[in-house]
Amino acid sequence: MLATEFVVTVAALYLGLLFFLAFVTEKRVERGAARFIASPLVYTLSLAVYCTSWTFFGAVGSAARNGLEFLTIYLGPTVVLLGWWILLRKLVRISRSQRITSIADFISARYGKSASISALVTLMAVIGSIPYISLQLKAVTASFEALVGAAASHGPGSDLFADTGLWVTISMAAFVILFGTRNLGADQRHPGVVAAIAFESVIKLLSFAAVGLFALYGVSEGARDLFARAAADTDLAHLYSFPEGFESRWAVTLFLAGMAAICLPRQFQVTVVENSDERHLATAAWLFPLYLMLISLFVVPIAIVGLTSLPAGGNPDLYVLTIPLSAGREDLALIAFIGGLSAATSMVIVASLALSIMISNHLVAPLLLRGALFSGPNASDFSGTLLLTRRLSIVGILLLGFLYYRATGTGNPLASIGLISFASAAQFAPALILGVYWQRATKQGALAGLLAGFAVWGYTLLAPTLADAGWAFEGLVAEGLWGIALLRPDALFGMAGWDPLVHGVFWSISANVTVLVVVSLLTSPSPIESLQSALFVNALQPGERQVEGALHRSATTRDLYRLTQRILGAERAYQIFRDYARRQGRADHLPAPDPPLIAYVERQLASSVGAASARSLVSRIAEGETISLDALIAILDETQQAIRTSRALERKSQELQETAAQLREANAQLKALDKMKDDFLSRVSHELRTPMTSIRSFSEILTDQQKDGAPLSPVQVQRFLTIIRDESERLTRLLDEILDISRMESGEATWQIETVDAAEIARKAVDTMSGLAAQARVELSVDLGARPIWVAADADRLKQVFVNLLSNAIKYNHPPAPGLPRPKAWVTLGPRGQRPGSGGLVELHVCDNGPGIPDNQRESIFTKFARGWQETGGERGAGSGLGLPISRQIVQSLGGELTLARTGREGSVFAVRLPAAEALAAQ
Amino acid sequence: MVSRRPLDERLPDPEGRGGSEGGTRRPDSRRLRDMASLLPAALLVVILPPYISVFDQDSLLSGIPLLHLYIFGVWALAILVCGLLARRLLHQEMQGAAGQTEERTADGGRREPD
Repeated sequence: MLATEFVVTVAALYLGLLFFLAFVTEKRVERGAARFIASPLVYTLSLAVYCTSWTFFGAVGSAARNGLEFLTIYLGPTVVLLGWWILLRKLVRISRSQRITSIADFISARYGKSASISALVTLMAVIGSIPYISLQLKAVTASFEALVGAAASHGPGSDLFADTGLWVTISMAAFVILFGTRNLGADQRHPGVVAAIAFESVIKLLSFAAVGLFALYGVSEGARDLFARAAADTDLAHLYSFPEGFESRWAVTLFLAGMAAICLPRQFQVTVVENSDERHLATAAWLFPLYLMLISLFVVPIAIVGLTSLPAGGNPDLYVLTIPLSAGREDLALIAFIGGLSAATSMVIVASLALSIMISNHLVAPLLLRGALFSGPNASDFSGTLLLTRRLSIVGILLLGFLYYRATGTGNPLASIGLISFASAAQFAPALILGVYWQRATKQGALAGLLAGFAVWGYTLLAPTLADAGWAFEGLVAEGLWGIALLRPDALFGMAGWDPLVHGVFWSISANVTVLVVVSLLTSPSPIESLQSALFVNALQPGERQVEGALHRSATTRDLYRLTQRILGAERAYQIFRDYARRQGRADHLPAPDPPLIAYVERQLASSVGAASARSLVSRIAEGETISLDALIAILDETQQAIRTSRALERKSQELQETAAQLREANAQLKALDKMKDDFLSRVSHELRTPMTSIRSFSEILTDQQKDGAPLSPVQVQRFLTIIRDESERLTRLLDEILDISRMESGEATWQIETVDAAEIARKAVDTMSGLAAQARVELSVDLGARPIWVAADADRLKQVFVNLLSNAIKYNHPPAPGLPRPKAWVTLGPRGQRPGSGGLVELHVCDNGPGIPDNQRESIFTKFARGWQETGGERGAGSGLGLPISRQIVQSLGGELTLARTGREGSVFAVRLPAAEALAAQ
Repeated sequence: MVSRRPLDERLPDPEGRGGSEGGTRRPDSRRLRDMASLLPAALLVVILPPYISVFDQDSLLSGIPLLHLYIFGVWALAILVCGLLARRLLHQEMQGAAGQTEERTADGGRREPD
């Protein structure tokens, strides 16, 4: 056994070291030389405040009693930390921008800075945490007693001043007051405290690992030997396999631990409030799970050694100490004691700090600020009062914890209190998590959900525990509320036979979530709630929000300054206003009192007294608070706006693509037109050349005969002159036609549209062509009936069309030959021509029984000079190649169409469709 | 998105890989973020029944129960994956932030949708 004095001295030295460390850190931070404190490693280690004495001693006890279930306590936070990208990052980002001071502040700020929510959450947190704090005291005294021997009692049963718990409590209170309430800084961070708990995290891991390694290699011979020992004892089966029906408890403890990693007030404090850089999360996300895994690795070895080599009946919660002691290694036992002490003190420090902030900001400050002392025009300085409140709260919390510890003595095993405390913290989870993802969650919903969850937690988890210990509610638990068996706390609605923890968590969380969701859907949020919910839910959207402009308030700078001075002290107030005035670009120290300044001041106040109190303080001096609907909608629509922007971009790029496609098409058309123009020019010159050449050569012959003296006969001369005249006429005709078609194409041609008889015009055209037909021995006929076919057209142009078509029909017919039918060309009515009034168009066909047009030329015959297919009839070369294009142009200009209806061995049919005169009249 | 993509491709690859894939490689920010979001869910699935019950067997692997090996194995694996992802995400975040300021100064403070 170690001497009491020695252990006390070592413990006192250890605590003194903590004070020193915190003091040095604070000094260095003041000098701005504490880069190490602001490192991700220290941040991660500070998260390890999660591992309390409940881990240090209780995890081994839990493993010895319940087997592998203890792992869920460390796997749960692992899952949450691994999901930092989804949840923790968002919480940290929000807390940063909203200057959140605690979990109560966070939830209240989300639901419209509601004072009732922050007060309720604070109360719940205090009720859930006090037993947990007392548990730490119990662990310290129990470990102290184990170390110095049970000769004299130093626990809760002993004389007050002999009680180790008292001294631990007093030194912890001194520590937290010294380093947790030094001043009301610009932020709610406490570098001294963080440094101390980071250091404690290293100590507890090292000392736990030392005991674990001793169990593995000092007592046993490695893992193989250890598990062989465990396998030899069937009572130890739970240490390497799951018991029957472990599933529900496994899942529930996993859930509780995961939620506890965010919702326990102390975890929220270190993870979110004390976070100095969002990027530290990226390191903590894997490093903290690694810490948890390392500490878990040693639990089972210690438990196996404790169960197999220590005398039966020992307290498994103290195996960490009793294993080294029984092996005679008192040095190792002392290290283990220091590790347990560090685990306990770090928890007590952070928990009491977090709770004191919550109590002073959310319970005391609203009451004090309502009173005359702090609200009147001559109100006194509040910053000192706030610090005093915080210090008193710390004393109060620790006193409560100490009293609870004295009253309960050695009751429940460590683990069960821990899990019930976790379950109470988990009641914050629905309001917290739904709050940052579901914009529709309302203040009433959150309030009702919290109340429901907490009530059911008290009824199904706390009451049975108290009844088991024989303190209270025994009748209630045995018979149910009002004697109704169906309402028994441990078998609500007849759910008997469940594990009490699973039962309580199931009912409390489902009640919490259901009430939150249903009430939220039934109520509607106030404008300030809508504003806050939009800010919280969209916190990860990039870009800065113009929140400042959303709340329209007016206040005088003087009032704002005095308020700030009262709450934050003269020095801070001066700094805040001077800095803001500078940012506004003003020479004096008084900024203009615009809404952004009021919002800024409110945020500064919130960093000290919490969002709800800050809001009520500012509301008292600011007038005419209205939320600009436009600004609100703008913020709410921020997401939609982002979507709209990206859609607009998408549309623009689509439009660009379409335009590019159109441009490509136009370019291709232009190229084709260009080629067509070149073709046209070369054809025109070719067409012009042929008559020119013949005119020139015949005129040369005529001129040359004078010189040569070989006179031509007059008949020859006459023939040559005729050829020259014909060719000149052809040339003229060709030029006329080219001019004609270009006039028509450019729309310059003049038209004389009138009601004419198409049949009459066709007959005239046939008469005109009869000479050519007789020459080519082609039979011409008209079959249009006796009735006139009234169309709206220019008579001369229409005749030109028929003449052109008939001329083609004659020229391209096969020559008369034996064995072939007699060549014919005729004009007849098309199928639509039968009822000229109905379709608006009259159809006439110009047909022949010639050889037809080859497939590859059916389209090109309508292009200029495309006179391609073999001319068989008539005079070779007589066509200008413009007949069909001109005809088509004429018919189109008249509002009709000219097409090749069919062609083949039996001949070709050209269809001329013209607007009927009735249709014209109707227009 | 539309405007950030070319920026991402311009920046050097943090791991020095992807050079061989050249311009066809999509910026993997989306993929990284999805992986970071799915990691906790994946871990949750494998440490809950029924998966975990599969490894609840009476067999030892070099003297250590299979269940212990399984739990600590997936735990370590998840930590490893998270560490790798976190490093790259952080890297990317910083580049993204740098790119954003660049963009903001370039086009007069226009926000880009994420």
